[in-house]
Amino acid sequence: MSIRIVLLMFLGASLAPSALAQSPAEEARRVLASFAHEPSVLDVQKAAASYAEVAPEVYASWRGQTEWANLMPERVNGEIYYLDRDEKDVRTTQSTQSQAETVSLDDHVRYKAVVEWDFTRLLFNPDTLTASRERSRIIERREDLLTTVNKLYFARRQLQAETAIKPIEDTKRLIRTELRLASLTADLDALTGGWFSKQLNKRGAASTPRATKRPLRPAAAAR
Amino acid sequence: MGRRRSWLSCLLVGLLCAAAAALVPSDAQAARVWDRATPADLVGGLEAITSHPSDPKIWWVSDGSKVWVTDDGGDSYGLVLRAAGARRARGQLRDSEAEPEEDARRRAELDPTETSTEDGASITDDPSPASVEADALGLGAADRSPRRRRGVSRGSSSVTELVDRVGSRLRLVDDRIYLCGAAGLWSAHAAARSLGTDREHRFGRSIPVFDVTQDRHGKRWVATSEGLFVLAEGDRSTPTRGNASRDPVISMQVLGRYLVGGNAEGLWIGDGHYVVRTGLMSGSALPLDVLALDETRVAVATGNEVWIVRFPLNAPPRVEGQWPVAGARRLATSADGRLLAAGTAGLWVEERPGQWTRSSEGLVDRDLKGVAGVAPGGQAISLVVSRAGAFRYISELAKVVSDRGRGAIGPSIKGASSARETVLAGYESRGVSQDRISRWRALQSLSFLFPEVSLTYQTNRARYTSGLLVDTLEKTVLTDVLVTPDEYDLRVFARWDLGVIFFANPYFDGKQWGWGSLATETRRMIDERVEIREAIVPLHNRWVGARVEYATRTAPDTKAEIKRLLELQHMEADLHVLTNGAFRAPSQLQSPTSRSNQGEIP
Repeated sequence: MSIRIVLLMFLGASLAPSALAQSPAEEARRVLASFAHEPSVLDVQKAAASYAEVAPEVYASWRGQTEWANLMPERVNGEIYYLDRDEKDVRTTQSTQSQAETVSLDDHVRYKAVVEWDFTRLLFNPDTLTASRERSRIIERREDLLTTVNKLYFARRQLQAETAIKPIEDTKRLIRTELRLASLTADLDALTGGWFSKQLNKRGAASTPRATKRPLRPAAAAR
Repeated sequence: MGRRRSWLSCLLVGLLCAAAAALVPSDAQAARVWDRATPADLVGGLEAITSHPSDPKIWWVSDGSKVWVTDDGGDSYGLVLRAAGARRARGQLRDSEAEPEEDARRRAELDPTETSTEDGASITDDPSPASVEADALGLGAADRSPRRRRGVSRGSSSVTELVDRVGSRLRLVDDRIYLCGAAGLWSAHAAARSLGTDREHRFGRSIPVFDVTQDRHGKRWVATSEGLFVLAEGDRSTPTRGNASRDPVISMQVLGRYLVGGNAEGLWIGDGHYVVRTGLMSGSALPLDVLALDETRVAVATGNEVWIVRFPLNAPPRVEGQWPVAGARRLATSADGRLLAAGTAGLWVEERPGQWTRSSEGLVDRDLKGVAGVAPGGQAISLVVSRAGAFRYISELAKVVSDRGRGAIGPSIKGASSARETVLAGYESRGVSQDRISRWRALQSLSFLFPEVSLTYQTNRARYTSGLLVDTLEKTVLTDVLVTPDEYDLRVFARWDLGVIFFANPYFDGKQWGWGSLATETRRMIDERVEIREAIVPLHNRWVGARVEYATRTAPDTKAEIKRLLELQHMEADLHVLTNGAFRAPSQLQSPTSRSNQGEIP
């Protein structure tokens, strides 16, 4: 933590003279450009939607499926009937006291298939309504989720940028800022299943050599 | 025979087509939304509005001290009247009202031995029967007087309260636009599009003015806190000669040969000099606004009700309707002929006689100060004003919050999705477009054309053998053999339900795929469309505002610059979410002070 504080103060001090020389717009652009290595908000949105299974791919095929579902039969019945029957018919003639036995040996096989289609649903499938409702619920959840992601992402970015342009000298305030930043990062991690931190580590590691060359990179951006 | 068959088939096809056409709904009436159209130089809110009776693109708005006019349907405004000292006059009015109370308080502070109560009685006095009864009922000193007397005394004594409740009012009378309010009466030429024709109408001393109208003889009447005045040529306004010069007149309208107005005593009718109390609303309600509906009927807003009162020629007035309409204090008729009531609870529209529905989607502030209808033929059909500015009620598809501003702010949002495109993309994202509902309805209506089909295939193979058992031989001698080789049976049944031609489906409860289910889904979609509009349109407006501000103003320091840049990006990200990525934002602008050409913000 103390290394970070020192680094932050150093960066702030190195930033201050250049800030004096530049207009606010240029300075703001330079500060924001120093976070270019981090995932963009659209990347984070995509990861969050994918993690929560509310991405458009989830319901993209529903519409076509409900429309063509009724080309398939509604019901298919099959029947196999096999009969092997041996019968014996014994008859006694009273006058001659003779017996006659008649035998019948039958053998039957029957195959039957019944297929039923409901083509009335070919034009309009009522399941479309159910699919539409469910789709709407998913979209609503996605919008809630992604606007929350936006809020967290830009709150974090603003905190990072403010820390970068004005170094915090008060340790108590610095700790509070660090904790707030860590909390926002953790929130984004929770919504993306840890993807955000993984990306920060991956991209941060990849851009470390550049970071040493660019004094504008704030210490907070490393988290 | 052949001819008969062709005739029958033609009839059947014709019937089917007619049924299908009847079941496919025509395009629904275009949905409308509230769109903010406020003077650019307005500081604070608006208090009054009125529109031109024949030109749908002209209307005036006022904040109580200034009047702006638009002649392009709200796209731009010009200042035409500035009432000097209006706000000061209101403050002075409040101070003068507060003085007696302040004096009494000071006296009480100076003389702590004062032993009289609020109503002037000494605490050592014997209690009066009224006070004993009031104490028994748990009423304070202020509540002891009867309700009606309280209402009258409050209405007649406290001018400040009346001014606050009635507010400012704009009236277009002939060729002048009048501003009535605490500052008195001011007017400007109706054709004016800039300052220069405004002037004050004096009444000898400064008194609040509540309304102004013109009778059929061309005489202009002014309703003030000191009764009716006649507005004469040369601005020499004089009080009326008769009994209409005593009590404050809050509102009035011309009804045929007469004036109908309201004061703390209720509704009255008369010729201006002499008026007759009708006995309606006397003491129970304050007629805050009166609107003539035709030659014999007026609508009256009382703050929480709307009354419809008829004044027959040879009969006493009668109340035709008295509807509870929360907060109603201003009335108007919209371009489509509906009665509108605006007030603290938003805007109410009388869809059918006595059936009021609230129309407030998209309104930032529902505490409305004024309402106006618009002449038929324009985009807007009604207008309201509030602390949030002026709003016009226009067709959703004609809503061009963006188009309106494109001329002025084009460079800032060049290439961006317009508000309409964004809203339509939001509909598409949620799958609630009007086309989709119409398509479902059409397909469901035509579903009967296809049958239910049942196909049965059966194959059968059998051998029947008969024999006689011969005991002596211990053998069975075949006597009869019948072999049935593979025989098959193929049946196809097709069943049409033609009853749905006339009545689509009895499942109104929506269990299956009846109209009930589709109707429920349609309602849900319409609700969602309202939600989407309410989410996207204000956000898009804020985004356009932020873009324009970014392009035209300079941030004081880097922190503020970063903040506004991130706010812009945040709004764009939200719009991206709400439209499922269809929202187009132009490339980030260079700040006016920026000398950098470093390119886009990542």
